[in-house]
Amino acid sequence: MTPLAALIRALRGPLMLIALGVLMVVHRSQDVSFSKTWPVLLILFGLMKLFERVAQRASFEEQRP
Amino acid sequence: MKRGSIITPLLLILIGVVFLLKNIKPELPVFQIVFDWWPFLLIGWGGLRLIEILVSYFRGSALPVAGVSGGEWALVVILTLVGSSVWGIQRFSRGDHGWLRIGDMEFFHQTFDYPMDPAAQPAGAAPRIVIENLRGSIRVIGADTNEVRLTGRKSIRANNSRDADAANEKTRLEFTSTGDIVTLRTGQEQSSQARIRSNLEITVPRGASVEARGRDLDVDIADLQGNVDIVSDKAGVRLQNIGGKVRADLRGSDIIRGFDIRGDVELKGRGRDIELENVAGEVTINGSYSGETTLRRIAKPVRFESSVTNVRFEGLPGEMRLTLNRLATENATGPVEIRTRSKDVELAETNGAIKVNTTRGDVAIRQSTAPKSPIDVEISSGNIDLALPAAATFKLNAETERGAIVNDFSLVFKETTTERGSKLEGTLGAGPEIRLKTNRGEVSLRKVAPIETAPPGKAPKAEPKVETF
Repeated sequence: MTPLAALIRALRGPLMLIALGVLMVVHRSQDVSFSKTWPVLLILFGLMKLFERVAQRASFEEQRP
Repeated sequence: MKRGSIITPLLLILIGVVFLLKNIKPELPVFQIVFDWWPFLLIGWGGLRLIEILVSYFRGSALPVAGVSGGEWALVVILTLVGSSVWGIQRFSRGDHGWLRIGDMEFFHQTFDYPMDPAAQPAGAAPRIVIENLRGSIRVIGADTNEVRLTGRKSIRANNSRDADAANEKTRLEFTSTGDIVTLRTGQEQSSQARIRSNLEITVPRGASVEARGRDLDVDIADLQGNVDIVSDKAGVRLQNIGGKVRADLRGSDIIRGFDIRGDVELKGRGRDIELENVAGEVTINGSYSGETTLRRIAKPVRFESSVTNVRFEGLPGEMRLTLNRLATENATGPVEIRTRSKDVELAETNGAIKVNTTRGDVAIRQSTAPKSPIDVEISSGNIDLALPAAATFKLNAETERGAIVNDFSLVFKETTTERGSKLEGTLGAGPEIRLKTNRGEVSLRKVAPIETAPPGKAPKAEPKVETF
């Protein structure tokens, strides 16, 4: 695990938490129901996973040559 | 050494402070505030965690494997479920019976019903009736009688029947009469614990005037000769066959409906829909109304004023419909004056002078009889469409700074093109002056289609025909 990948992995939780909070605020104040916006969390989770992989891969390739 | 997160101590402190505040100052709606603002707790929690992780990353110390631990997620899920379900319930039952008092942690309420003993008080022929009822409904009916008769029901939401009984005891109805003034107080303010709604049915002498005050009231008044005066925060108002003046000052009405009112009507405040029909007096509406305002058959001047819209008629034998983005009238009596922003204006069969001034929106005017009074339209951005009968004679001054002018009316009018716009001017016989001006938009002058003539004096029930423009 590279430091960058580890960072991204560690940040996943807090970012998801913030996103959840924001969706809840929107749910409350803007009348955009959370039942419509929940996939955002899934997308965010997927993106974070993807970044983690990319960070991991990039550092492997740096080490190889 | 691996340091623990700062979140856990902060959360503990926060919970401690909340409960301490609740114990020290029980009147503060602490839980209500927490439930209103809890999503920001999530954001703050996530933000703090984010900062912590970034700090330890740049310091080069060990990172946690997961930014938010499994236990924390469990807490978040519970918080979210509780928070959102409380909202859901609150939203469903906004202000109504199903209110949840989070402040006292009374999640499971029952409703207890207490019928009121029928009561009566003597009154003169034209008494003043003062009703104070914080929450609930008031139904007043005028009849040929010399007394004020009351029946009603009190519903109390409480944890158990003991609490409900106590609240019922505390909130005694006060019903007194001096002959000229009859006072009725439900005394709900005596009990702060339980949620009480009093539904009153009152029969009064026909000549009575009614004053109703409350916070969340449904008011239903019929067959009175006197005045009606209503002050409430939330309200639904229905009035029928009122002889005197009507005044309503409401801060959040869902509907105000009035039929057959012989006096003036004065509405103030905020709300949604207004519907007034067959009013013999003046109508003054002042405030902001987000729904639809419908006025029909108003004999005297009409004035509607909000922060963005200013409408005046000398009378309204026909109909006016006003929504947030559209104003349509049929058969209004002029001088008609309309000043508004971002609204389409459609005027059909106006009797008298017309003056329209809008910033954005289209204006359509249709007259199936030749106009005898001036028409003056000025728009910053929008199209103007004027349809007049073929026999109409008038002096025209039409201008658009950016756009075209379509003249299907008469070749007497001479068109001159300016830089990006156009002007159309001329005099066709003797008649009133018509001035149409838009800074940006198209101006069209047409002959009215002869099939469109509506019988005068009859208000259409459906959407005004101006729709077919």
